[in-house]
Amino acid sequence: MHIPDGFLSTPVWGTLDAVAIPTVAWISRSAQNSFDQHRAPLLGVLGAFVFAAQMINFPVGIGTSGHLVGGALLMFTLGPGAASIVMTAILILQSLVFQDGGVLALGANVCNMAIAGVFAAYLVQRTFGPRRLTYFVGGAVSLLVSAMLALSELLLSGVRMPRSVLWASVALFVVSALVEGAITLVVMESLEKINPGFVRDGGRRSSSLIPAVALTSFVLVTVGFLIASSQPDGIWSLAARVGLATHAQATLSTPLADYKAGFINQPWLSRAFAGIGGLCLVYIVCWAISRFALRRNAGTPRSA
Amino acid sequence: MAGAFLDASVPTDNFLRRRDARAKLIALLAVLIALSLSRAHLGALLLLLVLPLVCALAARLPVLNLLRRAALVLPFCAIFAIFAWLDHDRNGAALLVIRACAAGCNAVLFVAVTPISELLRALEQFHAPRFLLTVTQLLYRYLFVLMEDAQQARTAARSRGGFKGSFGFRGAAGALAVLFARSHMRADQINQAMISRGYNGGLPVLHPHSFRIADAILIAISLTLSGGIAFAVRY
Amino acid sequence: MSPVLTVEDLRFAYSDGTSALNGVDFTLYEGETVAILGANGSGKTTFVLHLNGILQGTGAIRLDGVSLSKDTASEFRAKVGIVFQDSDNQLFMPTVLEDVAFGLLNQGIPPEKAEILARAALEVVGIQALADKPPFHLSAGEKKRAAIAGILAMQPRVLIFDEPTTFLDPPGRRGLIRLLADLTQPKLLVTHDVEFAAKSASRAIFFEKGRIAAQGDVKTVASRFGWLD
Repeated sequence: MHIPDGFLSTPVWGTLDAVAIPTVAWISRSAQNSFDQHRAPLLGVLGAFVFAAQMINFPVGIGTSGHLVGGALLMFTLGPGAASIVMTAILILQSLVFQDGGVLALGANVCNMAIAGVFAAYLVQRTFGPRRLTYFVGGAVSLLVSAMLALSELLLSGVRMPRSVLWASVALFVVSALVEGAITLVVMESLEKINPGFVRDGGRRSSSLIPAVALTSFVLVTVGFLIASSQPDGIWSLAARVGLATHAQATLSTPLADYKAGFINQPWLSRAFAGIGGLCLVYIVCWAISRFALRRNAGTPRSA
Repeated sequence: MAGAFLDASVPTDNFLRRRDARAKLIALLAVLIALSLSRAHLGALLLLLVLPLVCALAARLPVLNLLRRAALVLPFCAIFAIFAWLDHDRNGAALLVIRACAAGCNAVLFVAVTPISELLRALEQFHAPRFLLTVTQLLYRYLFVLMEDAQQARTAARSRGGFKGSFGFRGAAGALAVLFARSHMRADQINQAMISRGYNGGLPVLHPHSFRIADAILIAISLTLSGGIAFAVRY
Repeated sequence: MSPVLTVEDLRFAYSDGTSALNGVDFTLYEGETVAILGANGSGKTTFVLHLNGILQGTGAIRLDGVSLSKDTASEFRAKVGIVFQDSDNQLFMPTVLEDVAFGLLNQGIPPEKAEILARAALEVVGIQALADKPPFHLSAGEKKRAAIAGILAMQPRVLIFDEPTTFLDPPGRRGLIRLLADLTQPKLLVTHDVEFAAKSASRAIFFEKGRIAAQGDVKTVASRFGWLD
């Protein structure tokens, strides 16, 4: 689900661009330093492969068909950093050449698909290890997380839809996620048969507890974000319920102390802060966990 | 999708095509931001919708062709416009469609006057990570090559009755896996070809850009216009 | 005739243990064109990939008296130019001119001079008019010429062609034969196309099970292995 320009409100796309740009820069630079730069052709060609794979239709019954989205597949074959770079490259070209996704909304689409979607698949792999289940759940969770984030961002931007339509979309996302999981699973199985070397193993696993906790909290944050953004008062009401609001509001309004206090009560601003708050949370979780994972992986050689 | 390939049809000589990609990128972003800031102002939105079309006419670009490409956002728009309509927000629905179309027209105009290699070069000058840009450039180069490969796989499947039923699912997966394996081999060979000709981590540029007065004027005009619109909408 | 490229007792096995080359001795002399024939999997492509150091086996490879080693590998890659079967894999830059200039710019040649040299290389292969086209829009024959120009711009000492006639139509094939005749560098042609080999090459070597099973006149060698009717 590529969000075009014109849908997201200024604070929402602004925040997401501000999250996406440094994250992609960081991933790209650590990729350039840590793995061989001679993988650039492989990353480029596999990106083109994901594009081209959309032309192959998978029958999913009652006359309809689905196609591969590919974030999880790239993650299982290239690893998380490289998969994020490839997805970002795909989104750049889709937005600037094929009018599929906006230019200002690029940060949002990168956050949803190239960062959160890939990261979700990564957490699934760390949790379940090299198993068939991993491919299915990885593909499904990856797509579900991306789609729910996109929907949340739209709602947060003031795009309106009846409650029934909202739940229908979520149901549709779940179906698409199951299809993506199934496609990822069967393609990965075929790949393993052709050449087991295509599949990147997730590294040595000492414990699956931490990734499991991270995965659960990641999915919960996403779901919570969607629920919060569909409520009129956004995350503030949620925060109030868990007793965070006073603390958070105090912290956030400190730099704004010179402005009149009512400023923060403007609906778009509180929505923006809700967005920033939610995304910062996701960002910090991503950062902390990938730091942790990188440090743990530092000793083990990465397979190409 | 091959019809979306614009490089070949881009006239190589018009006042926008000659501008530095950096200037055009700044102008595009300025216009899109103005568009985002004037969310509910019909006048401003219409102005920003007409502006790229006038520019396209002045640059003698095929305007109908551009409109067709900009219309690619319409299906997505339509869905959300209907949702908003169902939620009794008719104004919102109309504004959403106009906003998305205006953004689409501006983006299409940008693409029509900026070859992708110049765009990537401009991003590099704005300090975008080089590795990402190298990957993007190679992705774009091999996009159509791999689409032909995929097309062949699809034709081969169709000539044998297509991917249908429960076997069809596995069949399609097998076709994708073979396409993946071929892509891998292709990437190996591209890598060999690049190393053979001294690849050292970046794709060199033959024609470095020179930033001219006209580029500065383009930036100035777009910033003034966008700033003016944003200001007018606010007060 | 003086030897340009010599290969002594070259052996290679893939990582899964399959041996691909079992002691190849070969010399390429100044001014000659040698066809490399052999069934699929006989080791001929593996052999040529050793000549510029893409694959590394045991044995000795010398170009103008210089041995191929880790230190000289980059020099070998520039001097021994391989034109791949699928030209798309060799044309990785956005336009033909940029592609031909790629190697020159990597050598540190300034852009203005690189452009002059690249255009000269395009003129040699006869496609100077296509300089600004994206490779995607070229015909198979034009792509092949563009790929050859990219190699020629590096001023190679030896040219190697892997199945050059595969994707070409008859006019493209005829054009290639004429072009090869005009190029003065010693050449190796890996091919299944005996007619083409007979027209372009002065002699042939025949690969079987990772070694040279026969060499001599192209048609004689080909008919000995049942490659001619």
